[in-house]
Amino acid sequence: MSSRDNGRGVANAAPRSSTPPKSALRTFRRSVGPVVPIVPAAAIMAVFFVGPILWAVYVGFTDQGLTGAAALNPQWVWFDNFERLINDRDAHAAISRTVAYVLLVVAGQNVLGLALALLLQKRNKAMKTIASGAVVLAWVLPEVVVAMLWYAFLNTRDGTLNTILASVGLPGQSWLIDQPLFAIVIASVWRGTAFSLLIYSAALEEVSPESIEAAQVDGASGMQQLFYVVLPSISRLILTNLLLTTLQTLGVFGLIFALTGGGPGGQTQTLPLYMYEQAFRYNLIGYSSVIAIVLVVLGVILSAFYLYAFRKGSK
Amino acid sequence: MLAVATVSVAALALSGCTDAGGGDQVIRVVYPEQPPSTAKSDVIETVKAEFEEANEGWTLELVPINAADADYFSRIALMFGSPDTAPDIVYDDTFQVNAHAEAGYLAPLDEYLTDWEDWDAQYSPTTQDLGKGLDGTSYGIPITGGTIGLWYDKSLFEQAGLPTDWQPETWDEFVADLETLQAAHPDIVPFAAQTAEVHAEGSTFQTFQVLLQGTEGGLDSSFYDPSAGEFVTGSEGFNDALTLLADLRSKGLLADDADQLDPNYWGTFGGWFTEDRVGVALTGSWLMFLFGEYPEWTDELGWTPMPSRDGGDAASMSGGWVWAMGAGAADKEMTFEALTMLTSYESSLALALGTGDVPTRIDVAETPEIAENNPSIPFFYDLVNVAGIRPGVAEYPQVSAAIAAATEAVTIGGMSPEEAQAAYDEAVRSITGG
Repeated sequence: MSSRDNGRGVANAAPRSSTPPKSALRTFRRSVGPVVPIVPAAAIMAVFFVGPILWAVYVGFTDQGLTGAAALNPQWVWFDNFERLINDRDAHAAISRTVAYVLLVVAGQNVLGLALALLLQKRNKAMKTIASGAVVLAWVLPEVVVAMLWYAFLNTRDGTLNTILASVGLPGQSWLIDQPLFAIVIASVWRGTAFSLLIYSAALEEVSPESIEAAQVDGASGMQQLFYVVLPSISRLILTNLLLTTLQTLGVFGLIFALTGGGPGGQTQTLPLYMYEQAFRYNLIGYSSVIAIVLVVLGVILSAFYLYAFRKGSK
Repeated sequence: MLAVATVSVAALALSGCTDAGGGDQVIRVVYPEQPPSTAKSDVIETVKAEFEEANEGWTLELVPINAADADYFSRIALMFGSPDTAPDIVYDDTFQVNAHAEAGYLAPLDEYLTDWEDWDAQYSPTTQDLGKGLDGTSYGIPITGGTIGLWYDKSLFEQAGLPTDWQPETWDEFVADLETLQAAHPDIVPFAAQTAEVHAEGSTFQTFQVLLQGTEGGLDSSFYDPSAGEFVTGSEGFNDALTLLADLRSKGLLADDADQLDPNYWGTFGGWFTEDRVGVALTGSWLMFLFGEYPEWTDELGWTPMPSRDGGDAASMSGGWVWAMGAGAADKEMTFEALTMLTSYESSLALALGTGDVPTRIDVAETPEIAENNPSIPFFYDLVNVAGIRPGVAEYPQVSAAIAAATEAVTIGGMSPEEAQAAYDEAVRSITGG
């Protein structure tokens, strides 16, 4: 109540004499006013998002443990954890494995998603609904369910794939053991394709039919139409989708953990799994925080690369 | 506005608290239980009923945790992180006791134990040591134990012309007998043991450390030197044990890679015993836990110690679990009262019968029902005398993982023992900061 009275008082006072302090107040209100409504949201972000990030950075400079004396009295160790990372061959292997995994999965799901979107573009509605419905189902399934499905399919002993191969007289293989990276890439692509399909289907709707017709009149082949007309006109969405799928894939944990557990012999241990192992198997919270920072930096580098390409492409 | 946000944050935090039940009259008991087993819950629920009846106004809040061992330890470490979830009583592995005590999670029990007459009467000094930290203080009351030995299928042995009361004296004899077995039964897996990285303690504590204990000087000269307080690198014993594994592999005496890499390999070869598909397994006294639908195991299977490399004392490892008190327990007298009920003769006997684990109390071990229920118990109980124990230092989990990497490298990865040991030595140096 009283604040409203005050407000009216200020408003009434204003026309009488517009003195400098009043206009300063107005400027203040105009610049700060719009900010006020977002303060609660910003405060929550600060507490639950920025806070933990800052904590992770802080912990990265300590030997914080989950158990043992380092859990009770963590010591400030300066750059020991970073030094450890520089000398840690397993971590280097995990980083290069992560990059390979991300590249393969992102390439796979974007190419497949785009190809499916192109194939479905000119089909009738029933066909579209059935086909995209089937693909989107993979996206609806939780990661762990996808992992179990692929485990059932690729499993050595009674896996569906080996059973099918045996029925046509072909020898089976221990897919999850002989080709573990292939297994997690395929499972991830299988799941992620739906996301790209949805984005690309929407994008293709926006390509103007006139420009395609014009290309056809000029005698462009199907491939030429695709590369010179369709792709350039959706290039911004391709980049956006690449960025989104890269960041999604970089953080994949559940699917790999449930499918191979990072094994055999660490062959599918990507950075998130390596970080988990350091934190919860070896109780090294400080070191795993440094790995988390590396993961964030990796995401930032890849995003920056896409944004750069994006800006260059749109010029 | 900021106040509103602060209030809502505080409200969120508070709602988290009230869920926990609150109040000083509650004692939270945390323990691992993997369905379908209810062995621990059955015993603990009986104690809960008795405790609550004897102490009006008090409640034992039972928190069973369904997780694999390694996950269980991170779960309880995280629970200790907040007073709202910290266990007042926790079922802890003996080799975690020291690290948990150093982290300030566990309460020292010495002052209560001296007034408890059962402590000196029913627990042998070696058993008492299982619940101690490296500082010599008792943090836990041992409740179950376990040792490692060889299980073998007597009928397969008989058909191969091997003695059914098998007792190999040296590693050479052990390997030769496995080869005899393999020649007679080409379709079986002659020797099952966990060696893959994914089996973690299964590969290190249940397999490799047993072999190390059987090398010259035992664990002290090949693994962890307690007097120097450091892990040993470059030892001959370590090379001997890796070489044995590599030999077993090259002679085709181990299972296929795919089986060995299966995270559930232990359960798999346990099942093979019921189908005469495995000759010998190196594993814990708790293997019988898998034989629910196979009561004939008591006659058809035999058990014998793993020999040392050149004969002499047998080789084994021992571990087990303790009941420990959380450092944050509000009323330590009452909590200890509950601890004594959880470790009483009746509770220990019921738990040993339910789990098939080796008992820790002298009066329980001497109860005839124990051997009637599980005839292998007296054998595994006696192995405690020769068995080594894991060093309870904070670096142990990492060093253990480095061992599992080495055992997998020589049995599945095709690495030579020398290369695997060099990689292990380097890992140990980086872990201990040397």
